[in-house]
Amino acid sequence: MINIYLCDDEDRIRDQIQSEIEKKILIEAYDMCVAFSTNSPKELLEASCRAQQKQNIYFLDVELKDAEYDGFLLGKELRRIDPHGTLVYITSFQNLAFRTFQYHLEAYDYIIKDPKKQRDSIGKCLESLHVRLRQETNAQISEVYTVKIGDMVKYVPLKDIICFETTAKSHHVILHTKSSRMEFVGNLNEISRQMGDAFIRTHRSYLVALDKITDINLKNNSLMAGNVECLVSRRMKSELLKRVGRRGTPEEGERGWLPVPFPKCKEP
Amino acid sequence: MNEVFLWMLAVHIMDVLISYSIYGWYLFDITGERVQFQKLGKFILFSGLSSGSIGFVLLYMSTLNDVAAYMISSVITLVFSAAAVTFLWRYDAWRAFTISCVAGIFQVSCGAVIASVVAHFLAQTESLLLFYAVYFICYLTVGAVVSLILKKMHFSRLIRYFLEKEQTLWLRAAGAFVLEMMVEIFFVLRRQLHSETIITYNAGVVLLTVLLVMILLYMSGKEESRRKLEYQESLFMQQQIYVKHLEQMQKEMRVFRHDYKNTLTGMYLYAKEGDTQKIQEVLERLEIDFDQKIGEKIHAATQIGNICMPEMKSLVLSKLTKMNKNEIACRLEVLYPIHSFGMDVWDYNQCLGILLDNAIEAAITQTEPYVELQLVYEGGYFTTRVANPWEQEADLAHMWKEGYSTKGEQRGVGLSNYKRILKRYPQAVSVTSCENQVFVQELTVPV
Repeated sequence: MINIYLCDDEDRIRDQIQSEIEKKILIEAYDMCVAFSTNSPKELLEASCRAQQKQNIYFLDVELKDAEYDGFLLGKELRRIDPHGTLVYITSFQNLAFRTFQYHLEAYDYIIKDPKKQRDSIGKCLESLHVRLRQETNAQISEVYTVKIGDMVKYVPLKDIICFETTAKSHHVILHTKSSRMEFVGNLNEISRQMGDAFIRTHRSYLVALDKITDINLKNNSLMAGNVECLVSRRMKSELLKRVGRRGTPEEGERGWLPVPFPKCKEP
Repeated sequence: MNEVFLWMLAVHIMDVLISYSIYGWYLFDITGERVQFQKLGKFILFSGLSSGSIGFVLLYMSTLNDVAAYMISSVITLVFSAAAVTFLWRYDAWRAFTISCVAGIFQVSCGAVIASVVAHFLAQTESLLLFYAVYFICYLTVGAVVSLILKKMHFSRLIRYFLEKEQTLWLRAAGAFVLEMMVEIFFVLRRQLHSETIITYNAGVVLLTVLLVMILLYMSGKEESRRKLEYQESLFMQQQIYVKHLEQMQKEMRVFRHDYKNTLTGMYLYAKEGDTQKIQEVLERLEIDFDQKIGEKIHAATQIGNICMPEMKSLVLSKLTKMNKNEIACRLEVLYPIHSFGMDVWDYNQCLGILLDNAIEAAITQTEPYVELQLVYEGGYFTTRVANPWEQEADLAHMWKEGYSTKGEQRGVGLSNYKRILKRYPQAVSVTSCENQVFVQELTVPV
């Protein structure tokens, strides 16, 4: 049962949205229910803190007139309390500043206040939520690496990480995935400890995911992982070859972030 | 082999090593970078070896007189150093030559002072070893001291505008060359010194160097104020356009209000008649009308209005204009007012300009051109996000290299400039990604 929380300071609109949501849930027999509805952001935050169950769905008004919390700040605070919750914003203008919400808060979607479009909007939103939440299992949620950039927290699935690289800037590390390159404050030694055996520190400046290594060029002291060229120090060459060889069968490699098992019994 | 010859060779090699190390060190001070010993080593090897050996040949093995040999080898030194700077520091030829000359001014004047002082005080000594040992030690010490002074006064920043100006590069290179030659002449004159004139001589060298540096700084300052003036003029123009835009909006608001009042009167009549159907229809039309006519413009103006720094506002406005001209849809979101943050606004403008230009040029080639710009100033950080559609692959590892471009030859300096500017702001972090056919560049700076 997934709990839905509602916050909008226009009571009539809020009640209407609540009844639309409940109708949709009933028709489609979703495993959801509206657990809490309020016009005060503070009350919502308290309720959310108290709630035992997290990963809830929150429908929030974009333009809350509260002195302390507007839509964005409320969403930010909720993210802190319930990092894996789903945020849906209620707006009266289509697309009003939605990208900022979507990007900084990872807001899932928005619905429109206009009574004519409301039902459709809510219906579509709940449908896609239903599908998405079914797909996500607990296991998947834990397989992310958390990157803190400025005020934001980004989640990078572990299986997407190609390597970590130090930069000329002190205390900063670059995270490479197939489709992105993120700079953040970090320390390669700590990250190395965190990531465990699925990653290998081939060089003072590079921490590479074992299963992403496609090409090793020892003469050049480098290797290719994904499309990133990483350096290999002389010291690590033999260790690198050992651990890459140890990766063994494709099924093992597919385990992604799980530590490579010590194949003591499998050694010739 | 002739012992004297070997001795002279050894001294010459030491001299070259030390003077080129100092010279290289000054190059770092002028370009404003931290000393990288690998680069320094390569520089010493390349230009030291080449000009050092040519100098040796000219001085000791040719029939030219000393002064002529020295002057020729100085020019050769400058040329070789300029070549080294071009390769190692990635500057273009004229700028590299200018930088070499400026570094040369400092290095030669140091050398002149040291050489004359040491020659004066150790004129009586028999031991050549002592003489040269003291000479080299003094040279190194004074070189280090001057380098420290240059760093502390942020010489690289002061001279930045002198180097960055695009036009008449060759003129300034020639100017720097002339200034450097003046110091060289002084250096050569030291041989004619008598012991009484040593103080006058050194005072002269120092004075000349200071004078030359002040000339450079003056020209640099002029360029900086010229640029600021240019910026201010464009800022003014942008604000004029902005004000016209706002006035236009005001007019449209007045017209809308007039229509609105009429509509309300009509609705009142419908209400009296109890015709709720008609009322609903009118209300619907009203909302669509509003959104179409004014809503978008108000939204855009509010977002721009949130940019409280006039320089940034001006830049965003000019890029919006560029997008409009190229029929690229723009989504601008500025949720919270933007005030000052941990980066010089001109540097930030340059960075944002580069990102937006890249986004615009990329978006034009796509089937559905748009550019998104989000500026989020909240929670102690200021985040800039620029996104555009991109249907192909993006080479995230190599796109930062100078000369890399998807747009053809002679391009590809934007992102390397971007990186160079950001090097001065270690607190700023950037994220680049290309997922789901959207290319995104972000920059986060603490407030």
